[in-house]
Amino acid sequence: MNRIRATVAGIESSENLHRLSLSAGDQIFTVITLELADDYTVGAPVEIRFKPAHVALAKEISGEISIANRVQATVLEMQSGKILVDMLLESSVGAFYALTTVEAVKRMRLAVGDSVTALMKASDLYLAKTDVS
Amino acid sequence: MNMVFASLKKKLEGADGAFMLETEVEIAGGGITAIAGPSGSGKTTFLRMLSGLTSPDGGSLEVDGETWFRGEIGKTPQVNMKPQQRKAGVVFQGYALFPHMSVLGNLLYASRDRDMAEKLLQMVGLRQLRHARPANLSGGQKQRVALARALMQQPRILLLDEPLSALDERMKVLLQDKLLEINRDLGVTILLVTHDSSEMYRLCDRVLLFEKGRIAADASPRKLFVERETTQKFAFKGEILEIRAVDAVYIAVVAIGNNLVEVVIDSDEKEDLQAGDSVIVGTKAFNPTVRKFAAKDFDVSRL
Repeated sequence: MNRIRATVAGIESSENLHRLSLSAGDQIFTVITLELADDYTVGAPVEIRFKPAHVALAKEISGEISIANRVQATVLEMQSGKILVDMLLESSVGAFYALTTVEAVKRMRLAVGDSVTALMKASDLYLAKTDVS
Repeated sequence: MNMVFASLKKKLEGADGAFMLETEVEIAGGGITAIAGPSGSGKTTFLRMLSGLTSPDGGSLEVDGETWFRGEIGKTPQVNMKPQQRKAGVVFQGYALFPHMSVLGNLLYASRDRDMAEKLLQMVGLRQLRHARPANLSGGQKQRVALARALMQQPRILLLDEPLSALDERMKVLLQDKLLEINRDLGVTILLVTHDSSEMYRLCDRVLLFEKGRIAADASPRKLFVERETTQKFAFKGEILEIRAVDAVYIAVVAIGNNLVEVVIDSDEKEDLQAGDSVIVGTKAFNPTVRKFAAKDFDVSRL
């Protein structure tokens, strides 16, 4: 599970559906979630969590894309299986993992040291209070 | 609006020795409160103390401003109303109907108010069966008779000890609707012992969770059940049966109730997890799909 420390910067609500803006370093993340506990308020420290399988990778991205969260990162490590590759990425908001396929790595000619854009959908991220392990 | 104030103490014998049942609780009138918790935590004794079937060692019990019990530990209570003096209707899991009396006879035994009996039989949908004997009724019908009988004396509080637990799913839902109707139309305050989380969610505005004689949690069902530690809404407690490495990931087999699920976990999560661990399996409310149960799906409730 990937974790990025952040602070709640804004909350927009429609009934019990919420769109949160979160700031982590120079980066603004967007998270869409149902029902929020009372202590998720603007200024609250939280952890953004997401599974490595929910991270898409792009190289030299151009054009418009609907995915809200984009993080510039560098490939630090690659652990390859027959079908999947577990990649460790380094970014200004910390290190995190991305799970992708061997096929995608070959097609994109990805290697350790490469610059990539990590893409995460707002509905794939969730939040935890920072005092929770 | 009536109101229950119960500050009661009673020493109980548990499986691991004696413990004190201690409640300090106010229940506003008109609602449905769930009494939950493991066996032997004091739930039934709490209801029995409210109804007068069991005497507390000490404390006080007031309902609607009227004192039903007041006493000090080790002394004869100053006030201890008999069960029949208390305006409390009681329904337990066993039906306890008089077998030699008709449905109507069972109701009229509680109070000779014929109009009330007809009204209640209408309410629980048993008017056609008013002359039937209990032996000829189904479990759901018997429980409805017990419910109607408990309401004959127009109680201020209705005490229900797992009244629906022996019924099948369809009958359960029907009787839950009846309880909501009774609560709404008669305004009677209901206390309901139940272990069924969907029952608490459907019926109750408050859950008192008993643990070893104490009220360990007091919250609305929504607050109690919806996972609060993270924003994940789809979270279940389970136990890891095994973790195995597959390709560049790990697969954990987790038992959730009677269901077995497989979850892909990453090396970081795998670090502090092993077979036998109690875990919370969660995902966001956006991820699960929902479809109708089909005949070809395996129903674990068959196990």
